[in-house]
Formats: sequence, structure tokens, C-alpha cells
Amino acid sequence: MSFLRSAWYALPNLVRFVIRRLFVGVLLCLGITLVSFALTQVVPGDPVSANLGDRAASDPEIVAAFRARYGLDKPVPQQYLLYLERLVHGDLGESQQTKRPVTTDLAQYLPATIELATAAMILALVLGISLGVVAAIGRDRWPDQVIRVISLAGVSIPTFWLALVTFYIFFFKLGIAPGVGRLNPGGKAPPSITNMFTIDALLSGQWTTLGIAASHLVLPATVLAIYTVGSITRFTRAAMLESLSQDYVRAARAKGLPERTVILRHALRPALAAIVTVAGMAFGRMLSGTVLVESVFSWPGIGQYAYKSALALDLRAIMGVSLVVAAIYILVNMAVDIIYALIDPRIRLG
Amino acid sequence: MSDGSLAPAEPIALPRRRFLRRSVWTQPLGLVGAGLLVVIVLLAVFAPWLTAHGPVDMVAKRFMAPSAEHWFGTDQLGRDVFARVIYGARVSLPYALQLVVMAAVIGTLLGAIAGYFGGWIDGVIMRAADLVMAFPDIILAMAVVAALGPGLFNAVLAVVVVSWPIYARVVRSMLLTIRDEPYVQSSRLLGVSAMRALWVDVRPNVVGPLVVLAALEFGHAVLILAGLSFLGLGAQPPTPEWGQMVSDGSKYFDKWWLSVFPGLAILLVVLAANFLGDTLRDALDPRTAKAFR
Amino acid sequence: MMARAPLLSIENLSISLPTADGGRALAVRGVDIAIGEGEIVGLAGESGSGKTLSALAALGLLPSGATTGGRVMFDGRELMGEGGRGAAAVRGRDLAMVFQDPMTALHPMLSVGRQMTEHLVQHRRIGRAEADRIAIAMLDRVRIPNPKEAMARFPHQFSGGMRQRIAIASALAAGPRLLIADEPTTALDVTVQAGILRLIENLRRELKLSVLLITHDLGVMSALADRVYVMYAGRVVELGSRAAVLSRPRHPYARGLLDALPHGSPADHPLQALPGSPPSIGRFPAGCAFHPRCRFAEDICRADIPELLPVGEGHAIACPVDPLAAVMA
Repeated sequence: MSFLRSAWYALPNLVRFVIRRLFVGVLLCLGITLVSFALTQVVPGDPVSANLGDRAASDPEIVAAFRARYGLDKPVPQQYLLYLERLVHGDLGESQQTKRPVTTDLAQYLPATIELATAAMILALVLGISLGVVAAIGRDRWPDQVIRVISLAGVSIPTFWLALVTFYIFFFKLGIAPGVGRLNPGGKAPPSITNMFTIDALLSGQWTTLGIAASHLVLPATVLAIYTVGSITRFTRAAMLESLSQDYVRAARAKGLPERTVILRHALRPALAAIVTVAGMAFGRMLSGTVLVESVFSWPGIGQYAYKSALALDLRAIMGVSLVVAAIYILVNMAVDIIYALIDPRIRLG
Repeated sequence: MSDGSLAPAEPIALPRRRFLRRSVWTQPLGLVGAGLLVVIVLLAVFAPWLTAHGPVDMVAKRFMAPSAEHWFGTDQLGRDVFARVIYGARVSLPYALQLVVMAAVIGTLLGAIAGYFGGWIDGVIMRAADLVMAFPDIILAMAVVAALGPGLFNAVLAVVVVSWPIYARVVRSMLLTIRDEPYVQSSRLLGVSAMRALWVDVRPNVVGPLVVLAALEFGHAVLILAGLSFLGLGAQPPTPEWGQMVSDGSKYFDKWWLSVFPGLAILLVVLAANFLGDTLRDALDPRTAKAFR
Repeated sequence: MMARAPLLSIENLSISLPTADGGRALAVRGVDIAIGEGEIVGLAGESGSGKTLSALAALGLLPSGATTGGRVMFDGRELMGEGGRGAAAVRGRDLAMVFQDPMTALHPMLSVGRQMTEHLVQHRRIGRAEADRIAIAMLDRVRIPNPKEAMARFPHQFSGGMRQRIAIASALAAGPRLLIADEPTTALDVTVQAGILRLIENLRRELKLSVLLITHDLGVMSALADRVYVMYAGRVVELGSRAAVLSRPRHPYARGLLDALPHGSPADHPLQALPGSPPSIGRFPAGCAFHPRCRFAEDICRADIPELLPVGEGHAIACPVDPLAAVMA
């Protein structure tokens, strides 16, 4: 034991941090399986009839076979272990709606969502951080007030409505936005590498396809970003105000550094570390937002998949989606924490 | 103290954190928010007197554009959109309120238990909160609704499941800071029972921030309920619910007024709540405001 | 006593700050301070007396919303006015500042080397290598062990005393002529304090540096300052040589400050706390602001704001009653 302990403390600080964070990440992932399993248990509704349909559910033989197959005849803790075992093998059950394994469906739809959410996140970070910095510098004066109203409006607009309105204006009225979907009707997808069309087109040098895929991304990504822009702006402002009031910023000014350097190097850097963490959390809400945006723009991602599944009351498919999204959320936040550690010398060097 | 008694001659006035700065009521944004909310509530209450038409009455030709007669036009069944939007407040506001109250009560209880008992109970509750927050709210709510069946109340229950953690976190962290305040410590030294200290010293300091948090969360509650209704998982026709109206209207794309006005109503309510909540948060004691992060 | 024109002279400085309720409050009220070449001038007073604000005004770093009157001359240049451009030209280059808490005054995420050299490169238009060389020499001068390696390290890897040395080295790297030290030892352990004080004294000698030392600690003051200004409620109430002000104070407030210090012989000199507490900005009493706490106060103290009047060679007090004249002179 003591050998293990001293070996552990002999590791560099950063390595210890990463290992600890990975461990917590794995625990959290295990936790979400527990929550999602618990939900399927707690939620009323007979999984048998939900999955088999009424006709099959009235046949006792089929029901018994179904129960045996999914271990529903066993005690609950054992059911959880069975559930975990299936999960490890990538078995999330069969979608009632597509009649395919949920895992297969997710693999097909996930890249489109990741492409959309990543584009939106980049946009939200760039806009949100810039607006937040400007607001903090002009604290309590008009730029701050204007940006405050803008960011509050950002978190107040119903996403689905904004999607409809912008689509109506830019596609229907002005004709400058392309239609729904990821490509023009009948358009050919680029060679499948990541299944994110912009990336694939870029990798294979299909510039026309890249242009089309990117133009289809603009409107949905912007709409999806709006809420996050609002929250990142608010947070950036607060973090900047806090770091601007620090002694080290006053010291930087006393050293006669130009204001631009003081703000971008001395004040923004520590604020950025905190902003990245919040952005990681905002990513979760953004993934939620994809449900609404994808259903308006017919974007074939997991959001639309979840929506169609929910309408069909296809519990297995939706639980699959929420499990995957929660896992992505945890992984993203774990990555963010590790990036944070790499940026901050206090953690990196201990 | 010369007679050796430890009892103070006069009751000690407990310094209570003033949780709002006085200047809060002069903030234009907060006033606009509060004013808008009052107007919207009045519109909802007096809806029958404000419009000649009921929300489900088919009163005119279908798809009439906005006019002096029908301010917001008429829909695919010839119902007056203005009436439906006004009556819509009678649906969205109470359900959102219900949602916020339920989540706040559950979250407060769990947060207070976690902060008060500490130890493994704290660990379990707060880790559960972390886990629930990892789930995407709309998607998890969709799962719950898919299991319980569509309907506004089921949607509310579903969203409560994913929205209690924020309250638990705030209450817990406030409890932890207040627990170490000198006046709470001193009342503990004076032998005041823990439960009583919680009630007398802690409650007044937690209630204010909770109200602020609830104001901030109200807007979010309206949005998510409208979103679920838009997806067809919340309110069902012919209920005049805003999200559901936007969804209905989107089927007739060139009839913009069907979707635009109910959407504006959502925006206005949420904006008002956020204006108010944000102003209140700004006026919070800075130490209290930290707990909101 | 000051033959040549002082290096820095603050003349009739007044500073008003915006208050929470939207009004304004005068925090500094007609202050004159002069610092000669190579001189260490102490500025004493309780918090809220305006000592730090006066220094920040010289650097052009007053909080936003502050307005000023009077002028600040540095080597023949006007620093205030022109939207602070005068101060911007000398700030960090001729005029440097170190702050109270070295734990927070150094940037936690920038390496020591970066913090030592960034303003050098800026002000002196020299290359990285040259700036590094100067910085390492300066770290060595403030007795940082292994200065070369220290350049690559980060502030959290140093102790508080070492950090204050680094902060001083960073302030001095650009070769300023005046260092403003705002409570440079207050946040440090007593044992570390002495080292920092000795360092400042040495630097003054070696670099012909002028120092404006701001502190409420009269012990620190007596170890370093050539001359001392005592401020109360935004005004200078007593000034003079260290010997005059710290051993024979004439203003009742300065006297009170001194009596509040633990002295050598407790028997004949019981510790006496000043009654009351210093007024906060915006609530300065009329007349002599000290009168509510002064046991010698007379009617005139409540009516008129007292002028600074000479009571000896380079020694002046703002007290019309001068009750200690007989005892102290």
C-alpha cells in the first residue's frame, strides 16, 4: 500500500491530475448508466407492451421469451448488471421505429449532430467571448447595457421559433439561404471518412461540396449558437470584471503596458480558463438544443432521431440518445478540465 | 456580566445579510421586466374581457391575414390568433410556475439535507445532482414523456426531474457559507438547537436568493415547456399553448402570422422574466451571487 | 532643505470619487507632497486617509469615475491632465510601483521571465535576449537564488517574501527613478519584512532611487523613511524629518498613532489606543476632521480647516491648538 502511495506521488503532478480526472470520468459514465437504468425502472409503463406492441404483448409465450431475453424475470440489481453487459457490447436494444439496433442508428446520425454542434460552439465562443470582453471594458456604460440586452435576448428566444423565422426570412423571402438538410436535393455526399460532410469534403478536396455543405451549416449552426452566445457573453463579462479588478492587472498597468496587452494577456487569460469550463457545460445544453433545431432544418442528426423516436414513443431509442449525449457531455467536460490543467501552470506544475 | 450571568442583557440583534441592494428598484431593465410580467399576467387574467372570441371558437374564414378585425389574423380552422395567444398565457404561465415551484421545493429540500448533514449523504445527493445535470434536459424529458405519454403535466414532471439540481446546489452552498458565519456560530454556542438555528438564522438568508434563482429559472421553464409542446410532446390540440401553436403554424409556411405571434409571446415572457431575474441577481450580495455559478 | 526641484511633486491634489448612491465624495483634499532625488519619503495614515489614492493619481491609475484637481509634476513634466497621457508616458518606465500583496500582484499564469521582461521590451525597444539579461541581473540583485532558472518558473513556486522580491525586481527592471511602494511588507511575515526593508534601502543607495513608501506601520516607516508625511481624512496633518515626526510628533493624531505602538518600556508608557475610528470617505467631519477623536479639540477645530504651519526646520503641522508644543519641542 505504502509503495503504491509513494509511487503515486512520484508521478508528475499533471499525470496524477489526468489519471484522477479519467477515473472520475469513468465513474460518472457508470453513474449515467445507473440513472438511465433507474429511469427505465421507475418510469411507469410496461416495457413489454412498449416494445412488442399490443398484439404481441397479448401472447404469453412471446412475452415470456421477451422477458427472458432481456432478463426482466431476474431481480433488479441483476437486471442492471445484464443491462451493463449489453451496453459494453454496444447493445442498446432495437429501435421499435427503425427496426434496427439503436447503436447502428446512433452511429449513422451522430456525425451530423457533432458537425452542427461543433460549428455552433465555435461560433458561440468567438461571439460570446468578444461581446463579453467589450461589455466588461465598457462596464456600466452604453456598450455594456446594449450587450446586456442582446445577451439576455439570446437566452430568451425560443430556439425552434428562431429557426422557423430565420428560415422563413433567409430562404423563403430573401432566397439567400439554402434549403433544409445537409446538402442540396440530390446532392452527392463526399467520400465517407468522418461523415461530417464539411470535414470529409475538405479532406478529399471536393471544394464545391465543401461550399454546399458549409452553406447548409450556416443557418442551423447560428440558430443553435444564439442561446450559448448569450450565456457565454454573460459569463465572460463576469469573469473579465473579476480578473480586471485583480492586483496583477493593476500591476500590469503600473508597469506601463499598453491597455490592449493588459486586457488580452493579463486579464483575459485567467478569465479564459474559467470560460472554457463554462463552455464545456454549455455544450450539454447545446446538444439538447439540437433536437429543436434539427427538427426544423431536417438535419439528419441524433436530435431529429430522438424527436421521431419520442413521437413514436420509442423509449429504447431515446434512452440510447440521452445516454450517448450524457457520455459526450462528460467526455467533453473531462477534456476541458484536462485542457484547463495544461493552460494553468498552478495545476500543471503544482 | 458582573453578576456572572451569561445571558445577554438585551437580545442580540442578529446581523442579517441584506440580500438586495436598495438601488435595485431603480434599474430600468428590472422595471421593464417587472412591468411586462404584470401586463402579461393582467392580459391572462382578463382575457375573456379583452377579446370577443374564445380560444377555440371558429369565428371567421381560415387564414385571414392580420387586420383591424383580427389583429393577429386567423388560423387554419378560422380561430382568432390574438385570442389564442392571450389565452395561451393562461396555459404557459401556470404550468411554468408549477414546474419552478416543484423543482425549487425538491431541490431546496435535497440541498438543505446535503448541506446540513454533510458526509456521505451530501456526497450521494450532490453526485446525483451532477449526474442528472449531465443529461440533456430536453432529451431526457422526451424520454420521460415517451414513457408517461404526451401531455403538459407529464412534461412538467419530466422537466422537474432534470431541473432540481441547480436549486440543490445553490441552497447547499449558501448553507455552507452561512453555517460558518460568526452569528450562526455564536447562536450555536449559546445552545440554540441545530434545527432552530437552521430555521431562524439560515432561512431568511436563503429565501431571498432562492426567489431570485426561481425568477431566472422561470424563463427557462417557459422555454423548455414550449419546446416540448412544439415537438408535440407537451400540450395537445386544441389547447392554445404557444409552442404548440408555433408548431401548428409551421405547417402553413406562407402564413407567417400563425407562428410569429405565439413565438413573440414566448419571447416576451421569457425576456421579461430574465430582465427581472438578471437585475435581481446583480443586486445580490456578491458572496451570495457566487453560489449561482 | 531641498535645494533642487523635487523629482516628484504633488501640488494641491484633490480627488473625488463617485459614491454608491450616485453622488460624489472628496477623498483627497488639497495634498502637497514632494520627493527629492534619492530620497525615501514615507506616507503614513489609516485606511481611507487617501494615501494610496494620492499615489495612484501620480501613476494615472485612479479608478474610473474619479476626478482630480491640482497637479502632479515629475521631473518637470505634468502627469495629470491630458486624459492621463502624461502619466502614461512615464508609468512603468520612470515611475514604478509595487503592491501590498505579492500573492496577488504577480500574474499566476505568466512565467517570472515574462513578467520581468514584457515591459522592458515595450519601453526600451530592446530584444528578448537583452531584456532577459537585464532581468536576470535584477533578480540577482534582489537576491533571488538561481535567477536564470527562476525566469522559467511561475509565481506560485515561490514563497511570499521571494515573490515580493520578484515584484520589486520587475518594477525596477526598466530602471525607474521613483518607486512607489504601497504597504510592501504588510502581507509578509515579520522575519521576511526586515529582509525586504533592507533590500529597498540598498536599492535606494545602489540605484539612486527615490521611494515613496506608503504604510500604516510606523515601525516600517522609522526603519526607512528620510521624511514622513502623516495623512488623515484626505489631508496632510503633519510632515517633517523622520526624527521630528516619529520621535517628537506635534499633531495630536500623529502622537496618538505613536502612542498606540508598543514601546520599549511599558511601565511609564502604557499602550493607548486612539478612541474612535477613522471617518470613511464622504463622511469627513467639518473643520479639522480629527476633532471628534481629539482630546484637545477646541471650538476653532470644529469650525475651520487648519492650515499646515511650520513648527520647526522642515517640520509642519495642521493644528491651530498645538497642545504638544510645550511637551515635544
